[in-house]
Amino acid sequence: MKNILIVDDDTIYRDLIRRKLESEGYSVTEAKGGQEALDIMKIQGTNIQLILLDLRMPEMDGQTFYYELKNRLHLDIPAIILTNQSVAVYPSDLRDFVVKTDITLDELMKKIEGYFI
Amino acid sequence: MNTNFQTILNKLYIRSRSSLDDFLSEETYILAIESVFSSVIITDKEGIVQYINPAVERITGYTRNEIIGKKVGLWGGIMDASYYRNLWKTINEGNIFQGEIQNKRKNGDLYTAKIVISPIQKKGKIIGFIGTEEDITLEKKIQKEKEEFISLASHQLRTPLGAMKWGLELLADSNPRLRSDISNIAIQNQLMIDLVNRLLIVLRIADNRIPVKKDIVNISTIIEPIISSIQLKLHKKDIFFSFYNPHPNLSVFTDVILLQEILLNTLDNAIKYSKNKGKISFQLTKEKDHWSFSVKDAGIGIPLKEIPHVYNKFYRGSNTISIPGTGLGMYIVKTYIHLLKGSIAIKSSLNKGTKIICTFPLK
Repeated sequence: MKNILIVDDDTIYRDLIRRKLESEGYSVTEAKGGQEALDIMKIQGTNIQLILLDLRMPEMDGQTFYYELKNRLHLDIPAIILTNQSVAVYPSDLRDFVVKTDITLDELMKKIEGYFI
Repeated sequence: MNTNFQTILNKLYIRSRSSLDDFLSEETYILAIESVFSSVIITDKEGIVQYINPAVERITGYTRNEIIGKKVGLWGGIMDASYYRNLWKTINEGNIFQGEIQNKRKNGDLYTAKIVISPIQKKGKIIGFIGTEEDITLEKKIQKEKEEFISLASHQLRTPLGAMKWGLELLADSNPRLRSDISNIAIQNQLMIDLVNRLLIVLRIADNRIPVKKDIVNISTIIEPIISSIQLKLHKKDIFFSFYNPHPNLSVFTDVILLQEILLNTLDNAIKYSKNKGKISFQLTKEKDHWSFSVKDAGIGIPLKEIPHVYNKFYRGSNTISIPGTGLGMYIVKTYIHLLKGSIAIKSSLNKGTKIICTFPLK
């Protein structure tokens, strides 16, 4: 099973990542924001092996979503942060952190593959 | 005119005026301090307030009656205990304390102040303290808004640039015959990304907002990830890279993030300005109380006259026309090196290569 959830308010990013992931044989679910992602996880949570998470989203941001996921839905699913922020400090339980402009899709794929070994 | 006061002043300073002026009388002196816009507080050596100027009432909201005769700290107590311990230790040892502090006005409002407290010494003994407090709440608010704006602007700029980066990658994947043309576009796009990243840093430098957090770290843990990260670029240009470190267990006192940026930048430059199948050597040396690294390439070099200018913002060597670059790299490297109390030297010969040597104190 190779199911990934992408949480990002930017349609273009969800689209680009989905195309790359699907071409590499992954099955992808998309969420436009934290709340939608929580709603999806409530239903499909146990099916998702990895979350690609944007931090800065309106209404519910990535950090809040992950906190709710862990503490309210009690789902401990690994997540890679994908952001464009020049954030030097990131949530300590989200240790995998990537700046979108600093990485190619190929490099991102290699990182993602590491979670499915 | 208080001649005793004048006599004291006279003893303290060699007056340039030949006769005593009526201007600087005791009354004028006190009126002058009363007029200072920042708070002026004088305490005895136990910290009991002896004098405050009107600014203290304005800034703290407390009145003279509430403050005079009591231990200083009526509008304090917000900071960690260790902050005040350090403050008192510093001034009791006869040193000046300078810092930013959060205080609380009588009405409960918190504010940020810049404080400077100096011991008052008479015949080598501390008889009291004089402190000034400047309300910098507005300044801090503006700084915070600036930083938020910079953060938002860079995010807004990065979003389309990042989308283009990945879009071009997917385009190249599905159109292998167009790879070369797409690559040219991607290079320009990367240049814009680098520019946004570097402009952000330049703005932070201008605002003195580059944090420096030093730790004792093993040099290998700093260098290894950097060398890993350049392997792909080295491979693409078929460059022979040699790394010589005779001190793999060397511990240095430094800011890891800043040092890694310096290393990455100098190595990236060596690669960027090298010809295909070139050679880069990276070496570490250690002296008694400092250590250095050198990066030497056999690339296009820097014209001799231009070497001092490479540290200028947006400066690009006259021989770099066909190689994209932001012109900000060396400015940032030099700034970071100075923040780490190090120094940099460049030796170069046109078309033969460049050697960069960065030296840092060990402690």
